[in-house]
Amino acid sequence: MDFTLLMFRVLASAALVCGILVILCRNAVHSALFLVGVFISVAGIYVVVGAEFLAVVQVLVYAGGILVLFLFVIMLVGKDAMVGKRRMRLLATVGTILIILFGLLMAQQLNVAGEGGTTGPDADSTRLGNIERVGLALFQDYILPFEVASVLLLVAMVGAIVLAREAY
Amino acid sequence: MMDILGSLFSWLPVELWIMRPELCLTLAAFLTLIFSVARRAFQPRWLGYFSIAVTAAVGAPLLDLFRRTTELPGQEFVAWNGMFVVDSFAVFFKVLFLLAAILTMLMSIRYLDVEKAHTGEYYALIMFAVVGMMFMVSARDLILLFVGLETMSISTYILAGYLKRDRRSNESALKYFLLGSFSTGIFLYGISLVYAVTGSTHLRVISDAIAEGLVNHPLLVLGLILMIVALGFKIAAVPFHMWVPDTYEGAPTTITAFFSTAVKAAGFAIVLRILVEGMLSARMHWAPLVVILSAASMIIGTLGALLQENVKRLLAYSSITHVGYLLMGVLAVQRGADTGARGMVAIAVYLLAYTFMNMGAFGLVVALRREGLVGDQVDDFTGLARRAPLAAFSMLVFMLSLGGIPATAGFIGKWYLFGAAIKADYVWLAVLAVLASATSLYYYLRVVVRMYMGEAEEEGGLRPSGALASALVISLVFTILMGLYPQPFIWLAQHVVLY
Repeated sequence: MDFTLLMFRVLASAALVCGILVILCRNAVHSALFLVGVFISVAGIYVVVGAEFLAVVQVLVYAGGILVLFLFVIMLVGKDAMVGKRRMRLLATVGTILIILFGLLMAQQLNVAGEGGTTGPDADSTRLGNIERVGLALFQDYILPFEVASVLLLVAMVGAIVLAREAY
Repeated sequence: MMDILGSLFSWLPVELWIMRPELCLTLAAFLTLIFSVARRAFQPRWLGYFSIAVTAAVGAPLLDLFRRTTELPGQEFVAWNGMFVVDSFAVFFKVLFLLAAILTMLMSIRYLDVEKAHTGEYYALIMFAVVGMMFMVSARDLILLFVGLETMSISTYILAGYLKRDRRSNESALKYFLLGSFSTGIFLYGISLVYAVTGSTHLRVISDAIAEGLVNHPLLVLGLILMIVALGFKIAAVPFHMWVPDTYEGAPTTITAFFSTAVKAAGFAIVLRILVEGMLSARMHWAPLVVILSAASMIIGTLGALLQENVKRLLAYSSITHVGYLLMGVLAVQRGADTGARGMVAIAVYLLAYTFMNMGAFGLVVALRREGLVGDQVDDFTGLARRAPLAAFSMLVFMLSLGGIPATAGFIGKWYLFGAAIKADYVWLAVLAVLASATSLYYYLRVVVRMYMGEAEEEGGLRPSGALASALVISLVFTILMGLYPQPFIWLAQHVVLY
């Protein structure tokens, strides 16, 4: 078994275990911390497949930005505001079972699929650096979605202000 | 006139030139946002008129593009690495969105004053939503499609919760937002699986890859299923309809009208783009799912509407039933035969009719709203015929049209859809649709009976604002016109074909 595959298996199972713990934990803060585990494992997978830039962005944006926001919300709302405990446990159990079933299904499908249609990295990947290629994709091939995304973010910001400001 | 407008934009490079409608509308939305900061100088009402005028003016470049794309069958303009395509299919839907947006804004002006929530951002958000829809229907790449979809969705989440002091509006926005974000995640998951198998997000490349033998690839099928689930949420098909009654009831009535026409039309446009342009070779995988969605929507929608006392909830369930009818049009699309075109034309005709009659019905609910009366109960319509005969008559027409009575727009739409389903050998589904629409007459006529048979508790007619009255008149005239003389509308819809 080569090193890449081994690393992938380790990181993927770490992500899975953390993911299951996110929904099984009673304490919302613990859930949030396990979520960091998920994000970092996924970032590790990115490094393994050679997408270092994505890995760094993953850690910065998700583990750094989004998670801190989650923790703030948990702090402000307080964990008492969560759903009743019994119901919570039921939901978590159902969720776990579904996740395991889905995982099994995916694993089986992947075995069936084998190497069929997946595409390997293109020839450019060895010539250009990681960040250069992300930049080229973003500002040449996908420039239009990139620009539309700026409208999307503006709408989100305007919306947040509209909903949060005092009513006239 | 066209030439002057044409030369106005002639300096643009062709990539931008075919995006004139989107650019103009985005610019107008920015301006509205900037103006709305200065509340004293620019009253929200004037911003509303400004937005309506601009949205109507965007129709001119759109009509020009329509003329150019219909010169030859299959004529299209493609730009931005093949991501952005302007064909007659896209242009038809863009016209429909503009129409729905204009009617919505006309209905909103007085309504927002009564609700004490009148600010300029409201109009800007509607225009941003339309911009998102326009990119959606012109996208031949799943990434652009997704970004457009999200621009539309986020604008509509906010619009649903625009009445901040109304608890129902808050609830509506929250439910819509939570379920909407889940479906967004599912959609992305579907896209990523399809990308993993085919190596591209471009619909044409995906289509070729599927045709070359990836049809039965298990991950592709899984991705397709996930995408259908997410799309089912966006168009509100059973069993992904749970949010619809609450969201439709709580949102501002004008926005509910917008949801049920423009947003739904946009959803159907991307359903057709993805399933027909990208996945037609995988039809045997998606058709059974669409059959289930269609049949379930017709049954649950009809049963749910039977006992509603709230007109907005009633129309919400009725819109679920209509989704069931429309999905039959998607099923009628098959490779090789001309039945394919028939399915898409039927959807276009139906959406056109549905826009007018549904806008009108919600417009009447808006007209009933005044200080101290929400006006969304069936009882509020009691005795309306004596108080306001004209309003009652238009409600009668809209209800009959929704029920599909001949000589109204709804009948023409149903005729085409049911015909397409029968031609495509879905006879049992068409029979179910006929049964559903016969049952639906009961709850539509219930409103009519209250209006004409009941005794009004109060005196005095309705006094709709000029803008609202004109929106109602437009809806009424087109609903009747389309029922009596449908040829021009059908000619228009015949260009809605994906090649």
